[in-house]
Amino acid sequence: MMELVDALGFRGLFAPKSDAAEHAEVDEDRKVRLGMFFYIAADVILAIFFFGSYIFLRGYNTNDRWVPPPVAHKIGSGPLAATAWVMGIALAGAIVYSVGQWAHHKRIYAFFTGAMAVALALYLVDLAAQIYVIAHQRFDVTDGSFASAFTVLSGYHVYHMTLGVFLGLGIVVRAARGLYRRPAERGGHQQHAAAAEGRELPAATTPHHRTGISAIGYYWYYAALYSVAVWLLLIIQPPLPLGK
Amino acid sequence: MSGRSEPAGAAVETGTGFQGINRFWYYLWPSHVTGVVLAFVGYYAGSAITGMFVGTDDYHGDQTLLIGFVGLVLGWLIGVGALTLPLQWVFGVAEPNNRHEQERLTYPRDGWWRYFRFNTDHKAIGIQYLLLVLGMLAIGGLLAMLIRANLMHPGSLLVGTDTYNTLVSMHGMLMISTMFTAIVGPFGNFVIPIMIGARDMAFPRLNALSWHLAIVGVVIFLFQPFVGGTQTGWTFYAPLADQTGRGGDAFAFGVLVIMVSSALAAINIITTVITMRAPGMTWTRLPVFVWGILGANILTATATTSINAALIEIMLDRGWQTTFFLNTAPNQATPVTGGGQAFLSEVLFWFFGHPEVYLIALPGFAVVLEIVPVFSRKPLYTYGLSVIGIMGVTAISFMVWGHHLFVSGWEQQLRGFYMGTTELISIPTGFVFLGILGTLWRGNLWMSVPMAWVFAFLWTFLIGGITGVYLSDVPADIQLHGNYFVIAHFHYVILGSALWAFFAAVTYWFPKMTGRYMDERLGWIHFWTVQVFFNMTFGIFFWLGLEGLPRRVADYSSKFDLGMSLASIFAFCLGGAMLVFFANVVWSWLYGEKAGPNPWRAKTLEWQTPTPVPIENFETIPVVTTWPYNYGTAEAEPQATVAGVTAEPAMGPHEPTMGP
Repeated sequence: MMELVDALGFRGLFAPKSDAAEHAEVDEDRKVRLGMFFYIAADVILAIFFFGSYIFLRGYNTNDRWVPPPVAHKIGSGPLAATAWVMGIALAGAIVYSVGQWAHHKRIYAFFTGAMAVALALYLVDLAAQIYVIAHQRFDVTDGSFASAFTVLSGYHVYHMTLGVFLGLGIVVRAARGLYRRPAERGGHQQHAAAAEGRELPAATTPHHRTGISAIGYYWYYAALYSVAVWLLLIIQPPLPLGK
Repeated sequence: MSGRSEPAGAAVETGTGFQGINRFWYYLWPSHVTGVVLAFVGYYAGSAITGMFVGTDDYHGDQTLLIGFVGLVLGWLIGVGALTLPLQWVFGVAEPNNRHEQERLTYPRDGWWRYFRFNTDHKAIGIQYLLLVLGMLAIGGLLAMLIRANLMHPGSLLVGTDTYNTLVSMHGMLMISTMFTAIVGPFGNFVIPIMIGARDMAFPRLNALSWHLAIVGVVIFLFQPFVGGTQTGWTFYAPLADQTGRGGDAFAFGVLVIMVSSALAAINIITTVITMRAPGMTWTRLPVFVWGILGANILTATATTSINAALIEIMLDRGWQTTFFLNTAPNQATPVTGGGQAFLSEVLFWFFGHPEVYLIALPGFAVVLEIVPVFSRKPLYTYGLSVIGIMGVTAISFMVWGHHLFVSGWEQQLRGFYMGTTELISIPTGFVFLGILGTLWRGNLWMSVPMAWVFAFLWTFLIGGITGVYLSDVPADIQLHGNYFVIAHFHYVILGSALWAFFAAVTYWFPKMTGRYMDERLGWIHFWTVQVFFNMTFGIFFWLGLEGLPRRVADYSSKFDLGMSLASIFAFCLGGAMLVFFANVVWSWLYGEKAGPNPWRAKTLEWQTPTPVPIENFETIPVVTTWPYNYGTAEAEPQATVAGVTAEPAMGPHEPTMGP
């Protein structure tokens, strides 16, 4: 279990310098991961305010104005179903990313690169799906404050996916160039030689080689969890009042 | 200027022929020049492309303007080179921790031109922030002079009422933005990494990005008068925010960019303080200035998200006809019932707005607490309680915002809770005052200009704070809400905490940033003229408020004529007094008396470095061995001894005879 935590980059976030950083002036690995953590914290708070706007406006639902009657019949289960699809693809992408992290931890670099590429592809599909959902709902952004709130919640996911795709593209390109391996391992020769001689390689890659993957992993997991939160919001606070 | 070190024997390129073109291109790209050019290109490209698709009728014009601003920001960032490195990272060209690349981006050989670049050196960014803050202060002050000129007499409006309302809106938000950047920007950037024994901020390129976003946000904000103005007041409430002229787009977008810049800077500073402290720099040895900035940046990273949400929703209402805040969609041929609530904008705004004033005040507390032991030659009294006070203010500031909504018509039973929390926040504030006064008590006082501003802070913030307690009481607030009493209150607290502390900080750290003293005579002239005219101007406002004069009015009853005329005259004098400060900064920077590395004989780490401070701050990272406020005690040593700097510098020319 602790090995999984380590592989996913969650160990030592709030702890003092790791062993690897003892001789360095600054624990660069922890610094980058902590910075990403604080960025995500700020992003979460902004998301809370968007969620809060949704709940606030729904709470003021009087005289059928939250979802006006001409729009109510267009809602159906559209938003919930669409959000479920988006959530599913995002979660799949996050799971594949974590598999890739595990592969990197185990130094199976070809699988790591492939998994990252698949995760990136899933995130691209998710981005496209989210844009499609926004553009093809049966209501318009001007159709009441539910439509407005749903659009901003979905649009925020577009922002997450866009940034996530950019970061993921960097991971894939850099992984393909071998930048997440120790220099001596970049040709894969050490692995082949060690296997041929029946010996084990030295300890796993240093935190330095995992820093970017871990930090960007935090963001990808958060983006997936955000889509889950939106889906849960639509279940807990559905567009239409109870009984309608 | 401080912070630049050249390798010994560095060759200077000659500028003839092909070498000359290369050299010209080297200085030009990337720089602020190319940033401005591409900003124009981006703006026109964004608005032209949008206009082709949506047209330029009344409400589509908002879309065109907003997308144009997006293009402006992107063009600016591309032009200054801010996006080059992320793209290099994506394609695996740049290594994030490449020392050679990091040094190149500090432009050590470019002289003064390095301040017109995407410079990642925190010292250069601190200077850039100082210049930006001085510019914002000048423009905000000019707007104030225009407001007072319009209010000289009843019926003496020089501009139309819409323009007057725009002046008020711009002055308010611009000065608020100036005040929360004034100390954190220049001094948080320049001083904090050195103070904690680090070579730079945690994320130097993010630091540079923050400044470049801040300046473009201010520029967009200043577009307002040219595109129709904003008549909402600084609070930018819906529904007026949805309906005001095109200037509302510039207001919303500009403020959004400024807030994003501040949030990114806050994340950077928080990470820096947590992860980059020198060995031996435990939390209990951390200078109180760092604690104050840390508290302020925790507020920045969290509270600015609230106004960001409000501004995004307002821009969507304005440009895309959503209905967050309106019951009907404006400019639609057939209005639809939308279910929006204007009150939501007040809630979102003030959830930001109140932490925001502590975001302004906390750096001021930090500066005053930092300076007072140096010029009292005494240990900081109740360091621990002062830190608790700072963190207590940080925490409680999220629980008091409802006092801005006492007369908004919301649930009356909520008023009592917010009255209680608002009065409660005066307790941790009192801890800060206790620390200052306890340090002054029986201290060996050195009445220098920075110390004078500490006394001014005590006097001014005390008046502002006590009037705040009156306003926190619901019955008093019902009478005083929305009138000149409130204006007087917040000018006393904001100027008292932030602006006076800013002057103290500039005077205190000027020798380290520039290698020169600020002129003492001009400093004292500035101090006394500001104190006299500030108190005359805003003291009158208290009386005007008690007499019932409402705020934000372009005209008023003749019974207030004498008070308003006097206030305007004193305000003009205050403006003149501020010119003395600007003149002092410019003159001292160019011709001021040279200062040594530690003219104040202070013990924090930034004063143990040479002046100018080297690019990497320290040859080797110091090991901190003691608390930084052991003035006048047997353990009177600096916090650490840095290689190449005398541990106990000789007394400076401005220092009276005094103890350790």
